[in-house]
Amino acid sequence: MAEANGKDWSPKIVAFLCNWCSYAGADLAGVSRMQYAPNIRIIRVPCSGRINPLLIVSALHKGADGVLVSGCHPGDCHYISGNYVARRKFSMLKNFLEHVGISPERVQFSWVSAAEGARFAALVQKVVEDVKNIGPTKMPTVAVK
Amino acid sequence: MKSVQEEIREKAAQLLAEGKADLVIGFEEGSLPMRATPCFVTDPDDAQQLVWNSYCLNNLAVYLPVCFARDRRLKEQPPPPKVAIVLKGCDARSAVGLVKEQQVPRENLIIVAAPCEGMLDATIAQRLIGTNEIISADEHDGTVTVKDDMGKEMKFDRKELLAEACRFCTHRTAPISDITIGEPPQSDGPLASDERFEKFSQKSTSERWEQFCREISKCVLCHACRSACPNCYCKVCFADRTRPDWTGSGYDLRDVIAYHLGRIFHQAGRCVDCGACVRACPMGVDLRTFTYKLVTDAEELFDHVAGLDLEQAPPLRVFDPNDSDNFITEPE
Repeated sequence: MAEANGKDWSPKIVAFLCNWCSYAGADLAGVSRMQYAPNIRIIRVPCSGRINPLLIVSALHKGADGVLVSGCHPGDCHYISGNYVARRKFSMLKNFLEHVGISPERVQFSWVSAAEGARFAALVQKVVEDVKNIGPTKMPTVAVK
Repeated sequence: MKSVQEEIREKAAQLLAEGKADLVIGFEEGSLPMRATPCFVTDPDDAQQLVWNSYCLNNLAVYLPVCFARDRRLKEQPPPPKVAIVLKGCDARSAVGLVKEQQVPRENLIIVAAPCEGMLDATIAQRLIGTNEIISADEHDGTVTVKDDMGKEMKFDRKELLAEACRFCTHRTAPISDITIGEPPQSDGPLASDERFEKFSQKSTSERWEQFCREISKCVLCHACRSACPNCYCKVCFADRTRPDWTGSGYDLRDVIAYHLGRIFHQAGRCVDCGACVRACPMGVDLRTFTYKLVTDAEELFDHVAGLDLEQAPPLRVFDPNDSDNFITEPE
């Protein structure tokens, strides 16, 4: 992990995007040739309601420096109510992770519609900046005394 | 007037003899002083084993899902048993949660609500006494006299020995019951303020992470917290899965952290703060400081207190279109 401490460290961010809105939004940002930081790794999921909190914990556990989760705007879910259910889950998860000391910047949630390519690019830019500011995830591997 | 214990024995024998219950789950005298141990009675004659004292700490609701578990190897399931169970306020809330999550059929469950003024924790007494062995303990009017093997006698106020969860307990009375025994408890509400949790919440993010890692470092992954928790009834726990490998399978601290984050968050909106996980931990990990956040959040965000109402849906199963959006990142 030499690069994690060096100057040229750049964050690895896992982005869970819902198939119907945010993934299409990311696609639109791409075909519109909008520039945004290349630090995100997109994982397409059927719906933001599909995202098990364990997926987010697991991403951090396996070395991601940040996690971005994005779905359709409330009311626009392809499956009617997936993002509403997700919203409850995420609001508790975000508070809980913050409580145990994982910076709120590290795990972020947003809504991006299929028409919001510019919003997606700006969102990624913001998340990457935030994670750069707080530095890499420090998951200790040996017992802390 | 009959004592609570006699009444429990009488009711248990009656339920078994009349065939209203196939099994009674309660407590019997433990093999050590200041301990009571779970007891499973199927014969009316054995109901005399049952006890009720200040040491009935365990959350017996943990045994309920197993009683009603389906055997997948069988083509035809035998009819579910009728189970009567002696429960305190917190345990009854756990049982309500299990009924709501369809682990326990309400019609086969007989809740025998026993009065609870807070249970006493033998480990606290042991800490106060030191290295000597406790040989007996007597309780009278709120004073506990503990004798040790060196012939020394020490008197404690009952409040000094209260288990941690009981100190902060807000619901001593069972929310639902089929048979109520004894008088309802005198005090309903926390006996002490929860300073440790408050203090932790006010620390900075990095300090909290440091303390969290320090606490979790004590963990030896025995999974006792999981076994003691009535909410942990999954047939295969995420922590035991290898595909997907959620937590890693080593003793690397990262893996331990992932296990605890997953296990604790699994209690979101379900935890009744009974303290079973904390008492089960052999390494003394302060789990409550982390789990309690979920209890306060469920109440603050969704106005939900787990296990009080059979009709109220679990907060993460339902939604309200007007739920708060304030945690959402806006790019500009």
